[in-house]
Amino acid sequence: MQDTRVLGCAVVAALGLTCAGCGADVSSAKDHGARGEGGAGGAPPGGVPVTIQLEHRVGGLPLGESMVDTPFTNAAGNAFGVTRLVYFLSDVTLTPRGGAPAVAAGAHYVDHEEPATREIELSLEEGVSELASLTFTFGLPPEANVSGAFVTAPESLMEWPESMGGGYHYMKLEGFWSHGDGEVVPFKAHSGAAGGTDYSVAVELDAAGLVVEGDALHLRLIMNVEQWFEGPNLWDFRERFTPPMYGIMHDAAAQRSLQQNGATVFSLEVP
Amino acid sequence: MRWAARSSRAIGAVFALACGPLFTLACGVLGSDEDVDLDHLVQIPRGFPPMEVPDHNPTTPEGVALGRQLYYDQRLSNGGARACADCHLQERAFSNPAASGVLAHVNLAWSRYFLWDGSEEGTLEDVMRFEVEEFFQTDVERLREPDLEEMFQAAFGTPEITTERAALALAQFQRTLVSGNSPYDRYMQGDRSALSASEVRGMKLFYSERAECFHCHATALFTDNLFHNIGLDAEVDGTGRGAVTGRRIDDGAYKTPTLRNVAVSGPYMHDDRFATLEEVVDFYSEGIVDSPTIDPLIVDPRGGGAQLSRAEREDLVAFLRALTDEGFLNEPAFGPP
Repeated sequence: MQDTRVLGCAVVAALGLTCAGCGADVSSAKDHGARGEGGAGGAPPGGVPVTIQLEHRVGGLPLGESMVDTPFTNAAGNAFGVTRLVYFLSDVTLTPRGGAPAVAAGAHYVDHEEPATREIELSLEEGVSELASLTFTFGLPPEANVSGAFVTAPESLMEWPESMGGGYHYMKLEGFWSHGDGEVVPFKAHSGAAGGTDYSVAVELDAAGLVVEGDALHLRLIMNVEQWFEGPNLWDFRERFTPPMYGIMHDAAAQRSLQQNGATVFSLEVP
Repeated sequence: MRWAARSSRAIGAVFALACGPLFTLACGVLGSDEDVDLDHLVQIPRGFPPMEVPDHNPTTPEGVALGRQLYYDQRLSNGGARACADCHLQERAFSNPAASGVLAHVNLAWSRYFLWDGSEEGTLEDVMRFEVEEFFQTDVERLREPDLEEMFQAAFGTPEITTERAALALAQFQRTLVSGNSPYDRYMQGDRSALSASEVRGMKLFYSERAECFHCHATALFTDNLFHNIGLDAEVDGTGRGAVTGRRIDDGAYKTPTLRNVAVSGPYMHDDRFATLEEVVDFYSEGIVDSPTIDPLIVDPRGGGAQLSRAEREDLVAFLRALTDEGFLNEPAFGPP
């Protein structure tokens, strides 16, 4: 437990939410997010521990700092590299074939550059032998996407301005792309509830055939970053991110397009 | 409104709900068996994060009083000619118009990285230890005088003066330097007369991707406490945060300063290159210089910036001026003892 005391808290209690920083070990509160402490690994003690490792790939290759130097060329012919990727996953649920689902309730903040955030732990009931599905909300569901729900960084840094609808970013995806003639310019694809409209993504991944063996289970949840711009809606960066580019936070059509593409962004593997 | 804290092993927090514009908080102050009146010691404004206080350095009136004394006391420096307050002037939000690269001492309790390049990292206790032992190279023999020994006795239960205890006291005083009662705050709490029409327009611009201020100057603290290359220079190799981390992607990046009280805390940027807020806004509008590590949040670096109109720039500056907390700048408890 972190050797700290907490001297204050915002008025999230008035919203019926749980304050991630009050009366709790600050570090351990990180995973619980807006809807608090019921959370990760809710299965009874003695269950089968499940570790979901989050990986980020572009064109099948691991996302890393080198992406700036060795960009990926997408289906629209745009060469791009990623420098920042942070996002929320909510209510990650692993459902077995028979038996109770294992739920990591609340929001889980992920930062590509922070390995500690790229791991989600659950616990399945003993006796489960086969999985059925992995489901989660990409971003925050509307009832949790309430301004003031997160009072500590880094989650609080995901705030979405009140003038744009309030709440929090689902994702900040930023980087650079080659704008012809070797000119490299920035792009930022920030997703969230633009204008107060929910654009979160309900993701369901088929886990049928995955078998629970031994006393622990490891899964790999992969975000295929290029898919945000490819399927089913093809994004040509020349149309979206040509300077002067002021972002897409206000752009309902862009948010809807990302929401639709989000259905094909994630895949599941067993290491 | 008064609160009392009692020694406890449990981590606790008090929800001070709807008790006015500021919360006075006392929870989590440990290490004493007696009730401690913490009125006016630490006030957490609405919307601010909780303040973490380490077990080994609870905030007490005596500790804060000692820290304040040391902040203004030239005996702290080895040469005997400098005090913290010589460079950090309260009326300038504890920055200095003349000294180079002096960051304001505002809401540092929520920082984990200190100095423009973040080369000092950790708690307030950690950075105050650096200030005492390395920056000031404090000679404790110079502090061993009756007045200070009495204050150390009151604060720590012993008259023995150490650099460690001096750092702890300074950290306690720093925790009281909380600023969050500006016209902007009053506006957000419902006083629609607190901001002028120009300031409201500037606020809307601030919280837009057109001006792109809010992603870095984020939350109620008006800083993300992170590092960004904002396009000051074309040549960035080995500079800024990159000189600390060795990562190329950090070259040319400097800590995001809080914008609270920014109107009085110039000059601006790590090298004081801009004298006025108008110059700063002009820079973001037309003066951006592209470089290999520029932050993608910066609007149109190859085109020089956001290309704001004159009226937009004036509104933005007006909003930044509305982040001035006159109470903080004039609070007697923060001034010379």
